[in-house]
Amino acid sequence: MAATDRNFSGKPVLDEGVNKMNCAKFQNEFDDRLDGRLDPARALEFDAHTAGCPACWPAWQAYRGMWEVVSRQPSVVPSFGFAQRTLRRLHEQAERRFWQLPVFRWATAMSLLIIVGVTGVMVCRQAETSRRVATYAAVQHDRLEDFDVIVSLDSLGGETQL
Amino acid sequence: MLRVKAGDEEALRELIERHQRAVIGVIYRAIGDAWEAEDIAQRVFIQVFRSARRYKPTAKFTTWLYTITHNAIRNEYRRRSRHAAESFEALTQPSETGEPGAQLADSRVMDPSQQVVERELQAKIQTAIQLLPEAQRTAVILCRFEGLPYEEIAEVLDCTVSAVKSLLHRARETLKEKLYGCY
Ligand SMILES: [Zn+2]
Repeated sequence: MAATDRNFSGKPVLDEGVNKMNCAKFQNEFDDRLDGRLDPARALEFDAHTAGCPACWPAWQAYRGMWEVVSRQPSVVPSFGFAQRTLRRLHEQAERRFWQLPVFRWATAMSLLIIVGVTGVMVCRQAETSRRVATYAAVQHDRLEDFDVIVSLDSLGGETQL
Repeated sequence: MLRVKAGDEEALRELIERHQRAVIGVIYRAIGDAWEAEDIAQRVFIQVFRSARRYKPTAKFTTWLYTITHNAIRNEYRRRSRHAAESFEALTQPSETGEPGAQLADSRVMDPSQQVVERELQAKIQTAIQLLPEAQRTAVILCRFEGLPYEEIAEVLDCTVSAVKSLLHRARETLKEKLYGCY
């Protein structure tokens, strides 16, 4: 359309070799033009060339069209309470990490060891105490028996001379 | 960000509310699943909070945020590729079940048949973008949808500005081919 019109409207037609070189230069600038990286003067030159060039115009239209189409990819809106849920997850993870710290693992192991040790010692002591009490009771029992014998002998009074 | 750095959770909430749309949007465009996008976005913000101490105010905050987001997307793709159970289909085909939050452009003014055509087109675009190589995909999303300049994209991708230009060019050539007939 405009490309051929312009060529027929008195615009000087360049030598084909020069034109091709020129086209390659502009076609290398497609990305810069799309991303607004050409300075205003160069952008004007670019627009003027592509609009009037039968080689560059369809290529530029396709390139630009593709980039326009890409923008139609759907977007997404965060669901309600996203920030709140993120903070809650942060807390949960922090708690879990706190208990998973090596120092706590060691502390748990040491606590268990101490509990087992203390219980063992207490059980042993208990057994020792029970044994001592039993021995003491047995000794006392013997003594009492002896005492009973003595008392019995005493009750016999002076009648019995040992 | 300085308040977040000091461990202020209220500041983190404000920061999430300010950037949630962009972060979820970038992830959604890259992976095509609104639920997963939110899940990954949560991890991104938690990472922001945890790494806040390492953040230097000399760096632009959004660049840093997009870098974390890009890494999270990359990890998600790696995780998915490790899980053979998840088919290639699931990775590349956007769901059509109307995920929460998925927003169709101008769908209200379209008649049902137009909506079907539009959905098909959007699915095609989504697939084409998702199938791009990692760096090209991020470059396209950040350039097209977030309007980031090449310099900032280069920082996010940890490459040069000319590499960004090259990534975008290659991505556009691929998209032009994949979307042939749509424009
Ligand atoms: Zn030309």
